[in-house]
Amino acid sequence: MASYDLAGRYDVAAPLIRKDGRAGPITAARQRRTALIYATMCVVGLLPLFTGMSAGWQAAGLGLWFPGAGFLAVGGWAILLFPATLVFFALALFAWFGAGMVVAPLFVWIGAALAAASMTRDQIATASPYATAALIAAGSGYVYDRARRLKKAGLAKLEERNRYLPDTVVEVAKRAAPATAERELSPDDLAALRYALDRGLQPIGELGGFDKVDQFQTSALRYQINHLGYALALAQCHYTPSFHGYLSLAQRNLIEQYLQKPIWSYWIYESAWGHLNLTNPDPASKDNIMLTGWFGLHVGMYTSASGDRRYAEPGSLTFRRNRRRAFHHDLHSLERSVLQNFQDSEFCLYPCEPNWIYPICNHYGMTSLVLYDRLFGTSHAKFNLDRWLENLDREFTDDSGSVIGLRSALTGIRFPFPAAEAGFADFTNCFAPERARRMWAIARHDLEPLLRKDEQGQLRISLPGGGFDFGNYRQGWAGAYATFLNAAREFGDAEIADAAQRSLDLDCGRRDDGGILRYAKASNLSNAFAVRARIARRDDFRSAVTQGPPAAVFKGPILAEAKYPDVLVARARSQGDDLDLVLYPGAQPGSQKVRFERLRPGGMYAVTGASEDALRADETGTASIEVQLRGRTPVRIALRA
Amino acid sequence: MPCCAFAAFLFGQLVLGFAVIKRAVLGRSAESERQTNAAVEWRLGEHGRSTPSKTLWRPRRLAMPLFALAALLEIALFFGAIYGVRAHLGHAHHEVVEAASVR
Repeated sequence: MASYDLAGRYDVAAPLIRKDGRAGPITAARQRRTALIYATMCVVGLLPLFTGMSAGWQAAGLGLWFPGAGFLAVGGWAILLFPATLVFFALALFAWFGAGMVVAPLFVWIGAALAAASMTRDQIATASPYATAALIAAGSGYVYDRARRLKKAGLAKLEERNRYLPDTVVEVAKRAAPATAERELSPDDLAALRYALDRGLQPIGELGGFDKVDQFQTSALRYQINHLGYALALAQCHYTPSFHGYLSLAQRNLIEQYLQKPIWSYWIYESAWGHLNLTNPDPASKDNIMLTGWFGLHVGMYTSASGDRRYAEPGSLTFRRNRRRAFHHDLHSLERSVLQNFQDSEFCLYPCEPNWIYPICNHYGMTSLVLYDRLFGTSHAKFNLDRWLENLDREFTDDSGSVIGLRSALTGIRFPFPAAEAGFADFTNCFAPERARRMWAIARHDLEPLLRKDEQGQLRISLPGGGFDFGNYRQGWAGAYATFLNAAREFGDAEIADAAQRSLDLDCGRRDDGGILRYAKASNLSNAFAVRARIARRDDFRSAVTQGPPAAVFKGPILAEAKYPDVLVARARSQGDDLDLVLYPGAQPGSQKVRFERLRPGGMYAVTGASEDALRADETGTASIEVQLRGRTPVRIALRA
Repeated sequence: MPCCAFAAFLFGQLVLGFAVIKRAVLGRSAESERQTNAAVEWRLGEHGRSTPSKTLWRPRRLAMPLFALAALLEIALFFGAIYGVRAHLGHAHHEVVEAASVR
């Protein structure tokens, strides 16, 4: 595979993590600003007390110190409103985190202070300022102590990692299986792929087989659609680049589904209550990398795998709000939004929901930009990657050297959100492969203590507890196993990949009936991820992004039509004047008609494996043949000299 | 009594809020008890047509009446609470005046 390493000075050969244990300069500045604002609120809150203003003002002032503290000043039954306010404040924080509702915590905090002011009578409870101050001091002490302990543990972990990484990185490189170019989908792979095809081939507007929980966080339909799209595009790129037919149709359907208003309308709300923008909720403008980054990668992978450039046409990706209002986009404008936001953001990385910067979504965004550059001959990733990586290291990497889950862009505060090396490594492999190998080395090292032999003596991963499935917020480890499987495949680590696949099969309710392989104890999102992970091999994601299918497949004949699910395509690859197919019956064995396109007009082709031994293309370069499908059926057509 | 009503109002709001959040985060309780996910059992019907499926956000038959009932209840609770607070404050003010006159 040709070398494709965009990252220069951050990917020099040394595998050591460099981190000095201090917050990044932008993060530190935001945190100082937050502290300053809070200190100002405390001073302003003190003024009514010192100047002897009315009791109402004094209660309001105390309310500025801490959410609901004003009710302590009111005294009596109203003290009950203090814990109630804390609960509401926690809910407001949840709304802020979950849906970018920036105004919610402010509303609760200020609202509670004003409510306390209106309820206060002649004087405030004498002990309330002292109680509030003691409460704040205790809380601050706890937060400080916890941060100190976490920092100490993080730095110790960093030291340990720097000790083992040089050997582990070498070991990971030795373990890596060679990349395989020529291959076909196994019957199990085909059964897994049918899971994605079934969902992709249903009519636009119907979403059977999807989890419908909420449209803001990780179970949102948009992520399920994207992951199904990635799986299908990966299959097309590496196994069946010369098969379009229902495989391309399913991918286009998923893209069209994504444009339906229920999928993206979350942004109408988030831009209103997060950006205070009530007039222009364009989903591909400011922020929202959870849409532009993910969907850009989705559309880009389809474009790359199929060679179909329809989504580069103006208005081909139109988000219609109603009959009068629509946001006209295409692949270019999606990526323009990613690029512009990277350049405009002080952090370089930029938010999903207003204010919340998720590094993982920014990895999708950078990967989509790399893919776009290859497709359209631009150099956006090349010119922005150094700054992006520099900020990732400085602002979004913890003391142990791991990329964090998310950070508030407004306050600079890091919030707990699960993130692990295995989840970032495959993206990083697309633009900084040495760094990616280091990530995988860490992930592998962390996984090793969790490897166990099962009753059959085969290796599996045993994760503690019941797990959590981000696709439906229920218990389950399917998403984690799929993440390990996917990363292990990407780095050619057969041992971990087999163990992860086995764990998926054993723990997640594998079902095989009806010709469709799926995991009944997993969400649709995790199932989609498991499909992609199952069919992936070494460097598949990287090569899908940085190389795409060989040029010959875009010139040679394609299998343009086959009936689904009667004809399953395990391999379809052209070298230019021929087409190699491996087909399976999806339902009953028997005769099936398949149609070819992009043949040489009027050309004679030798056929093997079908009912006839030759075919002649018509003047449009198309022809059809009958094929007897019984189990694995290789078919080959080749232009006669 | 007004204080009890007010406390009940607050408690009711919290319970309602928790129920909504819990349902939003964890899904419906009956479903969360089940081990398997019905969505993954769905499959495309014969001849490329999808089997009957629930379309997105189609309101259930009783959704609107239930919503109206809940809204009415909320409004009643809200005004009840305001009345309770006013009555409570008025009563307290009356007590202060009485105490002052006795002294």
